[in-house]
Amino acid sequence: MKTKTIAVFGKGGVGKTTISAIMLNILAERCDGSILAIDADPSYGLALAMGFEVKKTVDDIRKDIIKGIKKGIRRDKEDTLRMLDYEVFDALTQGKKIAFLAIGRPEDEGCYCKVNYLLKDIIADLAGNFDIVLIDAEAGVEQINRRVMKTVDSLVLVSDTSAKGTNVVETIRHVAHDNRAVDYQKIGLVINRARSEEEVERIHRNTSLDLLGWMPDDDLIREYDFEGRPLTDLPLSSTTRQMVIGVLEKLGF
Amino acid sequence: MGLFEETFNEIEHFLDGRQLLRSWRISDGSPWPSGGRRNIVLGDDVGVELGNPEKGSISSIIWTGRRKRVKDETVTLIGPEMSESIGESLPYGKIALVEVDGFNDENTYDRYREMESIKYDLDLRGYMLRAVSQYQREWCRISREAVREGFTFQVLGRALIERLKELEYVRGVEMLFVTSSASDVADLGEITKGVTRIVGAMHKMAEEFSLDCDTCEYQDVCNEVGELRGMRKTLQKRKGD
Repeated sequence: MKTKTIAVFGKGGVGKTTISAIMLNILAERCDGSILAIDADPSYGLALAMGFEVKKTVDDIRKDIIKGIKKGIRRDKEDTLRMLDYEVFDALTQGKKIAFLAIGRPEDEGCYCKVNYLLKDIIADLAGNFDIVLIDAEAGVEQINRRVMKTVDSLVLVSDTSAKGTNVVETIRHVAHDNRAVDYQKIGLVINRARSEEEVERIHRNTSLDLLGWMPDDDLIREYDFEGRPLTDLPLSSTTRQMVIGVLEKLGF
Repeated sequence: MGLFEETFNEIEHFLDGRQLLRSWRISDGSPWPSGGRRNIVLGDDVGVELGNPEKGSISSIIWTGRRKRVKDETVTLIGPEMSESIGESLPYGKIALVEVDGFNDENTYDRYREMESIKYDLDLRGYMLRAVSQYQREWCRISREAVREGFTFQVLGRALIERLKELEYVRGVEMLFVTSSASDVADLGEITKGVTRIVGAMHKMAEEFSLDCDTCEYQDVCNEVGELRGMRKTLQKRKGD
């Protein structure tokens, strides 16, 4: 079975992590296969929302390897690849049906392209072992290309009702499509914290993206966020949850 | 070459009088089907885990040119078998004892690399491997289904022995597995510590352009092991050409 990959993008604070976490819960309930959740947002919000503990990030591994290189530890490409593969597997937090990998912070110790390329290969190889991969990404599509993977099936662009939010998703679409930063099959917009269908219509008219769905400003989600409760506990009747099911169905899940 | 004669002696000593020791000839088992592309065993599918970084592991390959030093095509296990450990995560020791032919200063390192890489090429259904050769770490998972269908150390040993024996210079292979306790695995690690140092020194000689012994962390090993000095001379000649 071919791996299906969803990447969720958007400006910080628009609720993409919440949507990613709810998507993961629904996918885990509905699909038989295995799921890999990749938290590519440096704040590790997805781990918290899913109740996963991050013991090590891909960036921690990268920094260790670079520290070794600086100390003069030499390995050929094959050895480095195996070492990274071992460490990335060790960084994987494994739940019942979902495995979780945190990417960590963007590079800050100069450019070690070789290590980055190898890590990207390993993540792609790891992802190939799962039926579904969901990436909770930050706004920069190029970062995902550079640090996670170049090809995804579905790009889900999340915006709130602000002009800033929609501007960011338009920029992401432009960079992904026109600059070919990421290869994808489907792309669509999800509007979060909307008050009415009319508001959604108005916002959608100002973008060039297909609308995958929208979520209301949900008091229940706000309560969960406030209490730091994982969204895995969200009741089946939650409106946001029902809306996310609609988005996933449009994406073919 | 006699790089590891002392290690062979110590392993023999380690095995002497062991309880819970089981041995099989590989001819008694049958081959295992391949696993295809997917090679990860996760979550509830894990039947047995071996050598998780928190439990400890040691994986080594040692060779000798001496005849009859190795019990060819034999798999030995100290500790519980996979089917006796469903749902458990065990410490893991694995040593390949290999009888070889025609090793010299020129070819030893390349041949070591070739033998070492075989474990990464194994494609056995329900068997997952992550390993770091330089640190002798090996982390395996065997799926519940594979254990239920009869995957054992004999099956794993057989696959490794058969692949190693495909190499023209390998005359015989014996596999030793240890799952009995963390302290047994640590003892095995102590025994093979010299192997890691020797391999590290060979690796450094092959990778580094300059072979300045005064600043090298492996100086003590090379002083002790004559074969390494011979390899160094050969490499220096090669690099100087």
